[in-house]
Amino acid sequence: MKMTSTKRFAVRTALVTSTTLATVIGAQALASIDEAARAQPIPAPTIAPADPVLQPTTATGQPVSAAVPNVVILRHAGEVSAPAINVEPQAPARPSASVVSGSAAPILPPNPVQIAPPAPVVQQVAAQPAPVTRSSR
Amino acid sequence: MSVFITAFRAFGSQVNIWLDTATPAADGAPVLRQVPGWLADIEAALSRFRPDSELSRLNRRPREWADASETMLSSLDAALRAARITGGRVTPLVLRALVAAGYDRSFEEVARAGEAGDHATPVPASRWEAIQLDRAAGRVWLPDAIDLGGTAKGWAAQQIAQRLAAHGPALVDLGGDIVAQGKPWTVHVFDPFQPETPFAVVALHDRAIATSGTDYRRWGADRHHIIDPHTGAPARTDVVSATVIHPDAVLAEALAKAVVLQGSIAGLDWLAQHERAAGLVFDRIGRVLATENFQAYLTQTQTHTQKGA
Repeated sequence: MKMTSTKRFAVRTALVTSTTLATVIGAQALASIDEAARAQPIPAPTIAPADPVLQPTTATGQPVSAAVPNVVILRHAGEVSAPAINVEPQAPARPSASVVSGSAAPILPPNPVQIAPPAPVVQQVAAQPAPVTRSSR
Repeated sequence: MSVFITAFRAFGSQVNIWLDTATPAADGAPVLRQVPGWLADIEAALSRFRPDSELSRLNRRPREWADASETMLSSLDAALRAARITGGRVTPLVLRALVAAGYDRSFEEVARAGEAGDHATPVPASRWEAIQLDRAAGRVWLPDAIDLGGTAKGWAAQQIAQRLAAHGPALVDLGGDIVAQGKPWTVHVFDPFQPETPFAVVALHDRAIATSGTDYRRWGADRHHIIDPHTGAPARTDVVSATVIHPDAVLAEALAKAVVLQGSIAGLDWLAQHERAAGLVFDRIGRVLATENFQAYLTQTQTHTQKGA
C-alpha cells in the first residue's frame, strides 16, 4: 500500500496517541497500586514469647535472644556465669583446666588419671551428692 | 528409703551408680557390688584396646561372616540405629580414622605418655549400611574394622540401669553418660570453661543425658576423638561440649556427638527436629546455646555477671 502523506500523518498521530494513552493508563494503574498498599496494615511480627518457666537474662539485662528459631542463647560470649543457685561446688579431682575468656584460648587436657584405681566401695549415704555430666573422664 | 552409691573406673571412665532402695535392709549393697563384674563382661566383649576381646577378633577378619555374642549383636544393633538416626554422622566404621589420628591406645595411656601415636593420612569411613547383622544365626558381617566408642557407654549404662530397675530407682553414670530412672534425679551440667562449678542443674526422670566434647579427649594442637566420617579427620567444630537429653541413652550419646560434628547453631537446629531430644552447647567463644525445649529440664535460673565485675 502506498503511504500518502495523509496516511503517514494518521499513523504518526495514532502512535503518539496510543503511547500517550498507555502512559496515562500505566501511571494511573501504578497510582492505584500504591494507594492499595498504603491502605493495607503492616503484618505483626510472629516472634514467640520466651518460655515462662525460665527467663534467663544476659549480663546487660537483655532477654535471651534466639540464634535461629529453634535455638536460644543462654549466655553470650564474654559473659561469665555465676554457679547455679543453691548448689555446692564439686571438689575438683585434679587442677582445673585453663579458664577460657571470650577469645578462643586453648583448653588443656587435665593431668593423667590414676591407672590402677582402688577396689570399688559401696556406701550407704544419707545425703545425695549430685551426679555430673561432662565430656567423659 | 536408703541410697547406696558405688564408684569405680571402667571403660576408661569414672563410673558412679546411685541405687535408691525401699528399706535399709534391702539388697542395695550386694547388688551394687555386682556391677563392676557386669561392666567388665561388657568391656571384655566390646573394647578395641584388648587384643583378646570379641571386637578385636572380629576386627582382625572383616569381610567375612563371623559368630557374635548377644552382647556384640545388641550393642552393634544399637550402633547401627544411632548411625541411621544421625544420618551416618555417628558410625562404628571410624576405627581406622581414630588410629590414623593417633588414638591407637586407651586415652589413659595417651595422656600418660603425653602424646598420641603417629598420625597417618585421614581416610573417610566406609558406609555403615554395609554392616550386616544376622541375629537369628548369631553372626555379623563387617566391611571394615569397627569401634563402638560412639555408642558403647550409653548402651552399657542402659544395660546396667535395666538390671538395677528391679531393685529400685537408679542413676547410672558411666563417664558422664547418665541414665536416670525410677524417680526424679538432679544432674549437674558442667561448664568446660569453669570446670569447678556447675553451669546448670537439670531434673531427669526416666531420661538419659550425655555429653560429648573436644575439651578432654584431645591431644596435640587440634586432634581429638570425635571423627568426621566424611573426612576421616577429627571434626572441625566450634563446639567445645554438647549435652543431649533423650529417653534413650544410646541416642543421647550419639546425638551429642552429632551436634559436635555439625557445629553449635547447625547442630542444635538439627537436633531440634528430633522431637524427644533436647540439647545444650558450650562453644569456643564462651557462648551457651540450647534448644528451646532444654529449658524445661532446668531446675534453677542461672545468674550472669559481666566479665570483670
